[in-house]
Amino acid sequence: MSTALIIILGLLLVLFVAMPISIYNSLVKLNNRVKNAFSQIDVQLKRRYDLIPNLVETAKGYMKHESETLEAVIQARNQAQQAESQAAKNPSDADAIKKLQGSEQALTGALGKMFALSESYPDLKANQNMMQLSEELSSTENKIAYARQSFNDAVMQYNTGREKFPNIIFANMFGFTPAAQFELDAPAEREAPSVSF
Amino acid sequence: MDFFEAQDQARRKTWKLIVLYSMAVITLIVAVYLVVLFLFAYQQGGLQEIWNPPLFIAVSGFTIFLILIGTVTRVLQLRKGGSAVAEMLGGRKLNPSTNDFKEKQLRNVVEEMSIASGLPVPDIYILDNEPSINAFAAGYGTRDAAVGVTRGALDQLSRDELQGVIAHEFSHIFNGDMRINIRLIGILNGILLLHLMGMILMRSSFFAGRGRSSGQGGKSGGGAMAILLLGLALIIIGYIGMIFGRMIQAAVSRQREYLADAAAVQYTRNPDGLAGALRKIASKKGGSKVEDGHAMELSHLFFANSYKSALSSLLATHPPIEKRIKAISPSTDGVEKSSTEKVRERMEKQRVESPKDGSPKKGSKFGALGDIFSPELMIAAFGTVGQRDLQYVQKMMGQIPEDVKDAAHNPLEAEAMIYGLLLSGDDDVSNEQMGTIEELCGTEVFEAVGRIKPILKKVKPEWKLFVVDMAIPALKQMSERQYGQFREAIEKLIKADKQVSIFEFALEKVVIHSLDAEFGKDVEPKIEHHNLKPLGKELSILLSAVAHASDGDSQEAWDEALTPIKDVKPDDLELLDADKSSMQQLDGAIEAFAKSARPVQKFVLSSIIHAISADGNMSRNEIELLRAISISIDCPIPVFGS
Repeated sequence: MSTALIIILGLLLVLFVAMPISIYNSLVKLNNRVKNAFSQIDVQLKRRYDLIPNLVETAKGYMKHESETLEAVIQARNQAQQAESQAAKNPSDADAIKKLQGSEQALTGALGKMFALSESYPDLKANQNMMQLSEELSSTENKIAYARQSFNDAVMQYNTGREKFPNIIFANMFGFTPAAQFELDAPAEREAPSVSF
Repeated sequence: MDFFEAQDQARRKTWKLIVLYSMAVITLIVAVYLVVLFLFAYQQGGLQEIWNPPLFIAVSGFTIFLILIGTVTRVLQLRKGGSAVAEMLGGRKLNPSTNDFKEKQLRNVVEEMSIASGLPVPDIYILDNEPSINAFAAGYGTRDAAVGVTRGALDQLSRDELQGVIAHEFSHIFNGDMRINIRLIGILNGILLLHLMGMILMRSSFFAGRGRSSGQGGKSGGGAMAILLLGLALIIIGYIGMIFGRMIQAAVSRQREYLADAAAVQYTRNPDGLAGALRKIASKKGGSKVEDGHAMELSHLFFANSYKSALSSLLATHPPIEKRIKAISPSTDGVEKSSTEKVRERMEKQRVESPKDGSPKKGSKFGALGDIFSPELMIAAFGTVGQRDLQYVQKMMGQIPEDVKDAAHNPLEAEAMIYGLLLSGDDDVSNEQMGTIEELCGTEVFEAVGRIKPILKKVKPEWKLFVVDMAIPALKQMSERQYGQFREAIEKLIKADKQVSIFEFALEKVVIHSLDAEFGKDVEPKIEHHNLKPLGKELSILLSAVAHASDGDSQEAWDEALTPIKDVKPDDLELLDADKSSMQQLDGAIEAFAKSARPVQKFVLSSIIHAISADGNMSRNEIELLRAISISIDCPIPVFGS
């Protein structure tokens, strides 16, 4: 074995050891960013799930004939909560995020319906508690929207980092699956969360 | 040794480290060479020459190359800051808006200490999978630092104990230990790569050998055998190298741990907190052991030993727990003055005695304000946490309304809060500013600013910059795109009224300087100035600005500023008129000092401190200007609260 061969062998080995390691590290970093960004959404989603039962409880006293709508809100909330705890386990799991997205949209729709109906209950609109809760709800929704932007940016960076060459060869090998963006702006729902009283 | 010297020493290459590293590398080269020589002899049936220069060059080239690759890649990876290290260990970044009680407590402890010491609030990480009690600090400079604690520490330590542990980690940050630590990690990784290579060689030859052995025998089998042996030898050599690495690690680390313990006690003036934490580690099964695969490599980073080796006493990166406890609780047996006590006394003495600027003490001048405003003591306090400052900050934190604190910890509201603080008192201007916000950042932010405006009225003017400090971790949660908008918005808001106040200037400095590091826009400044002499113009601008910020007589402040630098000052210094220099020029001047060596910075800062305390009174403008300057040159200055 000549010395040149040893050197070439060494270089090749370094290439095959150092490159995957650095790619792996960069993907872990990007993936961590996705996780961090989701934790920001997560805190606010939880806050929202805590607010909704209080809101419904307050509304119940006034909207006696709309118990079906209120029930639907609670149902949608419970489903969304389940989807959220799934997604929180692994935010770069595209399926979990899609599921959360679906149930969040359902919840937003149900809430929108409730608020639309509440328009015809002036007493409820004047209720101090209700005013406070809906104010807090809308501020929480703003926070979610903001955190969602930064989550989506992180997902985009992660996906780009994952797909570019040569990372893509190793990404699958290391089990880095593509992540999904968290979108809530289907046009029908966009108008729904107008919780201004 | 004060902050400047400690940092300067850490920045310069520590010769001890270099010597040990080269020794390790030379030993490894010789070992590999001998093995290869032996293998040739084995293959060619007889040893020809022991000294074979071409072979030696090839072997040393290969070994050095490998070790360097390992070292350089790791250091480059970790240069990205403390968060890279924390994530390597499997850390989860603590969400600033967390609702968890224990996490909030940790956040508060870290926040209090950073604000009291003037250090930008570091990223906080939690190692969720580690039930043992341990903690670490990592980073490259003071700006990108991260502190982390294990789940066990979070769950089992009381607030006081946690504070002791965090104070210990802060001392590592101030003493420049983190930079040395990262170099150490790099060294270890280089040696580890050698070991890893051996593993791969052995495996590949093992499989190759097995695949072919049925068909051919003889020579190629011998080749495979040689590679197998080479692999085995590399593994063993790698191990020997690791022991070397461990020894380097231990040699550098242990002394620094005592020092950090001593400092922690000094910062909190509460030895029981730290001692309690150490006792809990000692009494717990598993103690401080960290399970993560990197625990051994990063052992010197931790609060207490993160792994146990067979050669504990020789290779341990930390002194034995019992010794550390004894060292910080002086009254336990009283037989001898504990070593930590001695170190502490020495440190305090050095810090107070170190200024040899020659300016006479003017104790009486500070009158009722007492000694804390004596410039010498103030300079000695840089890069420490004073117990008085800590109490002041704790008290202030108690007085800041909850909704302000909540807002500071949520990314959306933190952004809105910064804008809110920049809104002008003038209605026309502030309407225009609100328009800018809506246009640049969208409705969510716009609405949040509207909500936060009334809340901000509850914040006392002198607390405003502290609230900004508190908001930095939340602001770091922005995405790069959001940060781009944020930067643009801040600039526009400040320029809206066509003039830049000192508060606006300081706010921009604090926010942008801390966040640019996070978003990778700003690399560590390259040291360009080692001497104060050529910086006359910059120093004139800077000191004039400070002199004019005083409520008292500018000329008096100016004269006072020159006393500590009279031997080193440039010849062309002059007190400029208040309206002669713009904030842009001031910015440029500060930039020049950010690119100066630590000793130069120390002269500049002590000159500024003298100017500020000339009239025995620190105005808000003076404090804010000092803060803007100190943050820009990465020098943590305590709040000097009283």
